[in-house]
Amino acid sequence: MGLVVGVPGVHARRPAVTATDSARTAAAVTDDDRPGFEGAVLEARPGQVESGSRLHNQVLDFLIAEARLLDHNHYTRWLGLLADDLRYRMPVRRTVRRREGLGYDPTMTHFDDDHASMSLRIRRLAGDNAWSEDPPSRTRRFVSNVQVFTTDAPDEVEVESYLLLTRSAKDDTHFDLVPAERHDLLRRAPVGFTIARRTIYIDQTRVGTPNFAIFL
Amino acid sequence: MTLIDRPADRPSRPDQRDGDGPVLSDGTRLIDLVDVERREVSMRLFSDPEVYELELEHLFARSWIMVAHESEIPDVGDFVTRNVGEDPVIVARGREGDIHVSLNMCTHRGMQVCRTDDGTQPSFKCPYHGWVFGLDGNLVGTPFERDMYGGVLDRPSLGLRQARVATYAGMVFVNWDDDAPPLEEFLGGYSWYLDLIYDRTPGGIECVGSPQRWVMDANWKIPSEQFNGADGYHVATLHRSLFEAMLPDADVGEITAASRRGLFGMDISSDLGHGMRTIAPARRPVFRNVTGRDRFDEPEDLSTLEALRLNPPTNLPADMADQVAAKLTDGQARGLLMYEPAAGGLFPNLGFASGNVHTHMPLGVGAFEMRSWIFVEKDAPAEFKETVRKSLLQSFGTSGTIEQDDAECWPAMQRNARGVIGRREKMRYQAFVGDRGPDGWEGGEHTHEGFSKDDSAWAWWLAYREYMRGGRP
Repeated sequence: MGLVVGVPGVHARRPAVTATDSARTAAAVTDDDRPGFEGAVLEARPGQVESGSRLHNQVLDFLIAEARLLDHNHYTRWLGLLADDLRYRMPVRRTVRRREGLGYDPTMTHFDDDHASMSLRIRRLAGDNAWSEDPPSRTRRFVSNVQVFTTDAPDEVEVESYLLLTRSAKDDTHFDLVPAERHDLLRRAPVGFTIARRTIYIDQTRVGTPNFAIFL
Repeated sequence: MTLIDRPADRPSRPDQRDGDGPVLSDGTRLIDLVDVERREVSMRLFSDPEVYELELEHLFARSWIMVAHESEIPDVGDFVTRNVGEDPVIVARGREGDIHVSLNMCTHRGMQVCRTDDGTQPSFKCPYHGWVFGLDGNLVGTPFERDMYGGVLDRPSLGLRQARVATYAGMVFVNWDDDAPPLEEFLGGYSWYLDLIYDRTPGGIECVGSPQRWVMDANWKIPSEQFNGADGYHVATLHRSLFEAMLPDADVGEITAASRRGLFGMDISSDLGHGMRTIAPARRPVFRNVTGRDRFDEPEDLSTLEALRLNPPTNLPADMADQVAAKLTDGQARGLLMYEPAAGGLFPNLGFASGNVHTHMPLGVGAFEMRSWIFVEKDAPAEFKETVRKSLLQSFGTSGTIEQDDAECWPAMQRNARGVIGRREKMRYQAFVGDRGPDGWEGGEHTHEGFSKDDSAWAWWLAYREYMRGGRP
């Protein structure tokens, strides 16, 4: 086995990727909308921006600031980070055999939003009768494993990151966990970036939180 | 747990027993928890583990349960895995194109022979000892059979346990009870109404991708009675934020008025336990502009099809409106024009809202899995289907702005049903329209025209009571 992301005693959820079998794995993952999954190798990928560089730091700062806005219930300010041509998706995941890839459904999603629909969601949450998040659940977004890639557009970068969202509400002593990988297209803005595209690849096939009245 | 329900010397088939059905260990008769006189339901039904065990037997092993749509498994060898109650099943497309539902449990030592949510394969090989079963569940081989068993293995009797299978509008239903009436009878006259959304065009409906799944800490009956009951009443308050978001410039009074208008329509209930809410379509104002009339009850100056073409039903492209003539009766087509099904249920655990269909599958007494499919017209253009899908995602399912708020109520009600005082309290269903409908209405069952009240929810509870008593409505 090569680099396997997993827990001892539990089947690795992601394909074992080594230099020798990466080609086979890449062939099995056919959904073009999953950039990056084919290349989880140790070598830097084309366009990859070095950790610690100015650009990498700027992206990291942005993601941390964004998480902070959401964790502090500033939805309307968060909406301001979303580009007008936003595409915000979260595919449904299924348990499949390893040879069939990661199990993300090519068509069905939990979210498939543009800027207008996201605005409607946030306008609703901002009112006094959005019971699902009032009182709000308590969330914390831990962002890590950030990789940044340059693109053909000088003002845009692709970013892949891991997210661990913890959520509790009212008297909960346990936390709902929503671990995910996010693939973003960020665009330079006067301050920081805007989010032009985000695809959220969640780990769970059966989601363990009662709703997605929250954003990832 | 002491149950008088199943003494060893009585037949195990509940519906062969006479009388009043199960008595719980504190001496309470289960049927008394649905108080027919007062039209009240005990909160205990949501939290009592004895009741839950009885439901798995009386309902989930005896009633038709929807598990999949045919379009999820179009080709030979395609399969999906699902639950019926707490029993895992494989829904597979067999070699003859037929659909088989097998208990996902090896007849050798009880292991699951299939461990994925879906896939395509010619057979199922148990990973424990290697017994192999066909798509139809038949045992087709075992490793080292001569060495291991000699001649003692009776293969024909060792297939995976088969459920009865039937389909309506491509939806695959399962029943474990050989004595249950066929699906057609189980649906009864209610299918007249279901046809208006799910079986109205020659191409029919298809499922978009794989269903969403999530878990809520609430008893499965809480969402089931709500959907089935149609419960228009809750929309005005629980979902008020929708009106606020859609009418950003309206004042408080205008929002209240808009939410009240939405409560007028016609609820449908069935003696078999099914129920739905229909609404005078949102397109009525458009219709009024065309015809100068508020209602389509004088068809002489505009044919039903002409009117449907001008004002197509939800999720049906305008240029497909004519197709309903091939599938629906004239009465059904007129029904679609006057009162379009908006939301409802199918006893015991299916809920729907237009193209969105759910099942509420129990995971113990205090939790259920919501499985949420999106159905679109198969022959609609791809772009149209995509629009429908996105719009349904906005309202229903995990991120749906409507369903989010329901997820706030159901676990809180479950929490309340646990207290020793709380579980003695009641849910109340005393607001009734009674049987009332438009002249010349051709649909059967019970029609409740006017303000959306408790008629349909109560029909669900009466059916529940009858099943739990050991009978059938």
